Amino acid sequence: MRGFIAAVALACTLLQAPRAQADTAPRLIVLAPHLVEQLYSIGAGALIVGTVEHADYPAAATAIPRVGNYAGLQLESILALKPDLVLYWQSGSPAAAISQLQQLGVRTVGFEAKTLEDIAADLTRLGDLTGQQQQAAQAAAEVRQRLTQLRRQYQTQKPLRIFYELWDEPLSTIGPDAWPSQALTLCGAENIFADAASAYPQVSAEALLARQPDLIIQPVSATENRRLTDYSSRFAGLRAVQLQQRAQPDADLLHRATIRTLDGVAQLCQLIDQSRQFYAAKERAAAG
Amino acid sequence: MRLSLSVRCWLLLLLLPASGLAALQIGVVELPLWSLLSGQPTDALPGQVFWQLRLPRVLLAGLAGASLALCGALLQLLSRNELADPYLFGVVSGAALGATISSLLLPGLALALPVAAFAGALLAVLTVLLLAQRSNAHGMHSVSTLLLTGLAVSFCASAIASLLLYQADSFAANRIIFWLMGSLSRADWPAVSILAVSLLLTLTLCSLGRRQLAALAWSDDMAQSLGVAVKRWRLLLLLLCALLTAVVVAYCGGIGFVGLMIPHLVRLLFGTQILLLLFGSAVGGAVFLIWVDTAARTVLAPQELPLGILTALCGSLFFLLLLNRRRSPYES
Repeated sequence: MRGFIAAVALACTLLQAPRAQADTAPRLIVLAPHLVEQLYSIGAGALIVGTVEHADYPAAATAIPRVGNYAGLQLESILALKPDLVLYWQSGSPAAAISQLQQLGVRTVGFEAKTLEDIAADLTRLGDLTGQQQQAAQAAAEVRQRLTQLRRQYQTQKPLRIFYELWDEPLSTIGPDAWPSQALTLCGAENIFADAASAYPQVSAEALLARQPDLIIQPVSATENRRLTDYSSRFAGLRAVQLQQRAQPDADLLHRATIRTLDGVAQLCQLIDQSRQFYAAKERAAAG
Repeated sequence: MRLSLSVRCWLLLLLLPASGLAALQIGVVELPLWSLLSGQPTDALPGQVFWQLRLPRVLLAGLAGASLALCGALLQLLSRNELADPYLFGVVSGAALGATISSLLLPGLALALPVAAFAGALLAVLTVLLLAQRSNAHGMHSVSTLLLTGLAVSFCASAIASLLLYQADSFAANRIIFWLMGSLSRADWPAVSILAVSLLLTLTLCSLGRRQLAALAWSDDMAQSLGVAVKRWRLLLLLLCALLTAVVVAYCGGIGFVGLMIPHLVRLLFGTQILLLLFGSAVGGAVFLIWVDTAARTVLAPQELPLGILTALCGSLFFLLLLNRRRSPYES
């Protein structure tokens, strides 16, 4: 009998040991797909107890319970998950629901990545919040190093005039305040609509024809299908179309502020550089 | 078999608390409803969910439904037009314009949105009333002027809002579009108390002015000959409707067709006696919106379905059915 009690006691302590450790780690609800991805990349993904739709990377994230989407949150579900901390995206998460959460006494922390360097800064902050400082510092240093390297390699190259086709109908592109603009500048590209007033302006076909880009960039996503403009008919007059200067970088990498963005930027720079080399070769041929 | 009128009234009245209780019970988190209501100690979570989220939300659903249906019934009486709807006076477009401006200038401040939406709604309605009043002075027919002015002001406000959104970032456009679809997820106690006071005020004034209302519903000449100050009463009631609708829109966004559908149903079931119509519409509207909101927050959980989608779907189908039958309750 005594042996049995001892066994039970031992089993209890064994069962409790990992749980006691888990109790010290915060339970997180994360209201933006890119923050979920960032947490996984510093080894804190297991702390997430709830997230929003579209949090699909890494694959493990798809198993996390959902508590809403960018349009609205289910506050009851959030409270039921008893989070210690709710991480949200300042410009993307529903503001009304966030302030309701704050009124309900839930601790919230906002994130807003505006520059590529902010990816590293966000990693550091997430590390502090989750106790994963070491892994976060390592990841942040890696991001900064890769950025410096890409910058050194491409930013001072001869600028290439590009058209960034965000969407085909209505024909939409990006302005200087849009997230992908950062990557374009870094790659030594010049947006032909850099003078646009808004971040994601619709532009006329005439304006595009008049501005004659060297390269047309059509970001494509594996998860969300899109239509691509058929340049062969309406825009056959564009030099870039005649010379077949079109690039299709991976939007899934490029459009989210995470570590994977660096892969996206590297790919974009490479595609732009290919076009740059093409024009350089053409010029040399014309001169020679 | 048709139940007698008083039995039908009692059934409708009983439906309200029953619906409220059912709606309080249905949700993502399981609630021990009886221990909560009788004040027995429970965990912190059910208490918080019940008192700060679900109860204000169900109350707001009831109040908003009652307000919209009551306004619809009042406006249909005043304009002697069974197609009148509280949203015809540019209330929603005005509120949307206010909401757009606030979400562009103060995107992070949650309180700014209802305040700006209310201001926009009120501004639109006052513009409509003022313009309609002026053309009436030039001898135009009052009801059609009101409706046409409402239409014009609506389009004007929507155009300005669209222009602003077009210049703004894509998130602002998203926020406004979802706000326009209507939702009760912003429900809190201040919203509930403001709407409750406005609704009670309108109901009281309607009860006091029931004789004047009955005369106005008949014809302006008739009312005048009975000694009713036609213009003053009409303006007062229109203003009350505008205020009440503006409060609803400010907190809940666009919830269409409730004000059109519920008074019609009430007329079919309870006849056209003024007080029965007004109070019946209020109770019916409350029951309807409580159930619609319960569906909105549970059907697609964890997503919340915007309320306006469901009400507009029910309402437009009802409307088509009505057009198909085309027998006005006033004619029978």
